[in-house]
Amino acid sequence: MTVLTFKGGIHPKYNKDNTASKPITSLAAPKEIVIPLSQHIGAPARACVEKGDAVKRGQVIGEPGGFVSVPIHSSVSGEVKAVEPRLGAMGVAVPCVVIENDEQNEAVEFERLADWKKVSPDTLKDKINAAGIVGMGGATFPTHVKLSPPNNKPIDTVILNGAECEPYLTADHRVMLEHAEHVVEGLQIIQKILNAKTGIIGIEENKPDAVSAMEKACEGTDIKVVRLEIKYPQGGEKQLIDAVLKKEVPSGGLPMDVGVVVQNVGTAKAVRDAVVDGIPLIERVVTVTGSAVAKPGNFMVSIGTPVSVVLEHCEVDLEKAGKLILGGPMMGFAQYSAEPPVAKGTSGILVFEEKDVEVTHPLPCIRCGRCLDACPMRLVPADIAAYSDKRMYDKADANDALDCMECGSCAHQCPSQIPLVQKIRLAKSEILAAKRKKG
Amino acid sequence: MDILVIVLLAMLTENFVLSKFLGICPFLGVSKKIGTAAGMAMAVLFVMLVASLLTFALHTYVLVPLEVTYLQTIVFILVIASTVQLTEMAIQKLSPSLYEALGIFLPLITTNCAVLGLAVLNIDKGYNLIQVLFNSIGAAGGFAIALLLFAGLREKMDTADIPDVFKGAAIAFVTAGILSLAFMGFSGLAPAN
Amino acid sequence: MVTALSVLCGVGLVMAVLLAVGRKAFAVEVDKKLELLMKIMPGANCGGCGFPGCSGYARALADGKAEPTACPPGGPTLAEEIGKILGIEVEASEPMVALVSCAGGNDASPKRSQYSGIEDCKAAHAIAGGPKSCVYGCMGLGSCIHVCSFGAIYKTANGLVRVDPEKCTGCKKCVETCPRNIIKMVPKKADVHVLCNNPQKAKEVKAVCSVGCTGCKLCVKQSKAIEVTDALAVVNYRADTKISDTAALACPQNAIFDSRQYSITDWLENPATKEAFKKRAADWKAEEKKRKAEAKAKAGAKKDAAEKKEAANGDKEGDA
Repeated sequence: MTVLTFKGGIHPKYNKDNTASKPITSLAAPKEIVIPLSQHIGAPARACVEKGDAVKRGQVIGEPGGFVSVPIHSSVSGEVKAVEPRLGAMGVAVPCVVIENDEQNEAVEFERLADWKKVSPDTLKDKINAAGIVGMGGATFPTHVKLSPPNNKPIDTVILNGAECEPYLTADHRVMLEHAEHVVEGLQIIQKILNAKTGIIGIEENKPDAVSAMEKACEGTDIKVVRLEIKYPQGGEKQLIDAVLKKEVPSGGLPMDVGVVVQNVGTAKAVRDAVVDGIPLIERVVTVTGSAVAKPGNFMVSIGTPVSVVLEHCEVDLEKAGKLILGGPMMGFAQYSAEPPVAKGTSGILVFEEKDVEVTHPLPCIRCGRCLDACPMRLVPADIAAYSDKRMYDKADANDALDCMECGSCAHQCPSQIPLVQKIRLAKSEILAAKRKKG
Repeated sequence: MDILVIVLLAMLTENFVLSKFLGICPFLGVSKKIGTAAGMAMAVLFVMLVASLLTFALHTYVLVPLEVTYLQTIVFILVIASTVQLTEMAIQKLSPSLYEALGIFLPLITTNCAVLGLAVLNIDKGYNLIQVLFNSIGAAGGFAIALLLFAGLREKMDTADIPDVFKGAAIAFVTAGILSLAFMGFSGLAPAN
Repeated sequence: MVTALSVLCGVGLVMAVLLAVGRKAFAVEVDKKLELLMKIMPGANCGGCGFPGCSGYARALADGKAEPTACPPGGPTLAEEIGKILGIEVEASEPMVALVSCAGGNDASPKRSQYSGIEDCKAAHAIAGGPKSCVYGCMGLGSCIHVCSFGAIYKTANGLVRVDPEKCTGCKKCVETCPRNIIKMVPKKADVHVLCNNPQKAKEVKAVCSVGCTGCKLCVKQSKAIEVTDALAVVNYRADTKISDTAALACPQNAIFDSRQYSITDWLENPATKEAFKKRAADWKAEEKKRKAEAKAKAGAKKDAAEKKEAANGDKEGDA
């Protein structure tokens, strides 16, 4: 079988061995659950419960704040203690619903659907929307929006992203191994909604067991499983489309412009669970690993569980920890506190000992061009960063800074340790601010 | 002489700016941005064409028959200066934005040595009308190449961390010198006469 | 000789005629006012007027689309000159300067995380809310320094930035740049400022900064020109009342700065001055306490006396 890939990218150390063979285990929800009202890209949800209200597991506690928004559900049963700002994964306080877990685990009645094939696509989409499903790879874009392309852009292909190219993370890997049938069924539901004929699952070569599991689950369907080269960012939407279909998404465009929708395997499973079992997105698989984690593993964690609780379970000595990252090491968010809760987009919790944390000391650019070779979007990171340095944001825009997806490949390769991504990100935000100002 | 050789000579081997060191003032002055540099190059092309044709005609039909070729320099300056003045007025009327971009540099071509040098060289080399035409195009093209290359370099240099003492004109002169060295590479391209 | 002269004259004449015709054919109306205005512009192209550079402002002025007082670097002198050129009366506006409303340096508000990214407040602020424990405080990375065309902003030793009011022209560039809206425009002549930007309640403020305003309103008692909104004291610069120098002394957090007593550099960066000020404030507070106690005692005594008197009167009445 051929191995597919895109041009550019890097080969970081993967470090997946610690958790790749650990089955997903459930983590009991703690006494206090903190559920952020904004766990997705788009308008935050509006709280629809008040202090003192009794809530059940799966009950809606936040209503969507617009079309690009999703409802938020309680992951435990208990009493609402407060609706107040709490520290979120972005380092600032965000509105959260704090629930005291009564440990009764009393759930609302989930509406099961035995045969989704007989139901209209719109009903399926409504079910997905009502379940609060977002992209679970980390981007947290509301799934129902992605499944509602404009009429002039027909979708012919759905690609499931099982690349899991971020080092350390093994959550998707385990989902593919343990819930292969559910993932495939989720893909079929997505295909039905989009009326897409082709379904492809892309998996990086370093997960041969996942490939065979998925191939087995796909038997008797038209769905193809393809092997991808082990390379970061193989799981980027545009890179995946390039690798699998050899199609290029135009600059500033979306996958739907070439008739493709990409979904994470975890999202596909969540879609299946929402449609067939009627269970909203109230828990997710999180990989907990890193040099400071004594007992690494993959856990099914209730949304809203504080990171500190998860770390305690994994026997992490926070005193020794030098760095805590929510998400993958390449695109995740470093934290200064273990207080933030696990949200819908938290695919991993990485904790490193202080001695393993490298503090960078940037040196001048030597124009070696490694960032150029590494950039999967074929940009010139060094140039954009230099323009950002000199505050020449219009020039940065002319060099397509907005096409940067902040994958971090360039900064990873830079021998001078220049924080290229941060510079480009600054340029991007300034360009967007200038465009908004212009109107 | 072959017309191609004339053009190549004027454009590369005997580049007005980088080999003959004529027209350095607009070369340094209007090379901060590629846009304005292109405008300047167009203005120079126009002035060079008009000026060399006018001076050629003046030389052939007035100065030579009347045997007053010793007036060449003064008459040429007179004609060129007036032509540029006319150009300036026309640009100001027809394209205010170009006029604004070129600003004070248009009057610079009024007494520009590159334009006068071209007029005198045309006569010295004994070119005929066609050859004069192509020599002017070549010379203006060479000026444009030098100016645009230099402007491109200077735009790139905006992002470089240049030591304070070198900032501005100093680094521009250094770069111009290196560019000139590079143009020496063209010396074997066409036979100098 | 004659040929040479006539050739020269002939050529000159022809060119002269051509130029004269050209002048008529390509005549362009040049606005005299615009030219004069361009000459008096400061040329800093700071954009403080809201127009693209000095030439943009001059053009807007000539078209009557801009106020003559809109140029902060030019100030009242320029406004007057513009008024002369345009032939209009100009009312002088009060000069404003930028003020960094944060006194919480590294000593007062320590860093909560290590930041090794680029030296830019916007970039740092975007990463987990920045490395400083107070998310309303100055990170001192100096985005404002870069945008200041006048070199009026500098870094202090304790990790903050300061605006030199003498160099500041009030162009507001730094105000727009600061991602935390810490830099405020204040009248140049104002001498009392609250150097805190944190609207949180006392407990939260004290957790992140030792010189943050807690909204205790003790300063409000000293001066009517200070108002407290959202648990943050704000000087009302439009109020005419002179702020008494006891306002700064009354602040339990030492978050109020009074330029009549100390220079800002001295007050913020010189530990000796800070100590001296703290001592003065403590002395004043002790004295105030004593005075209050005395006043209370006095009032109590007065009340007692009045009661006695009343009682005595009652007795008298009773007698009568």
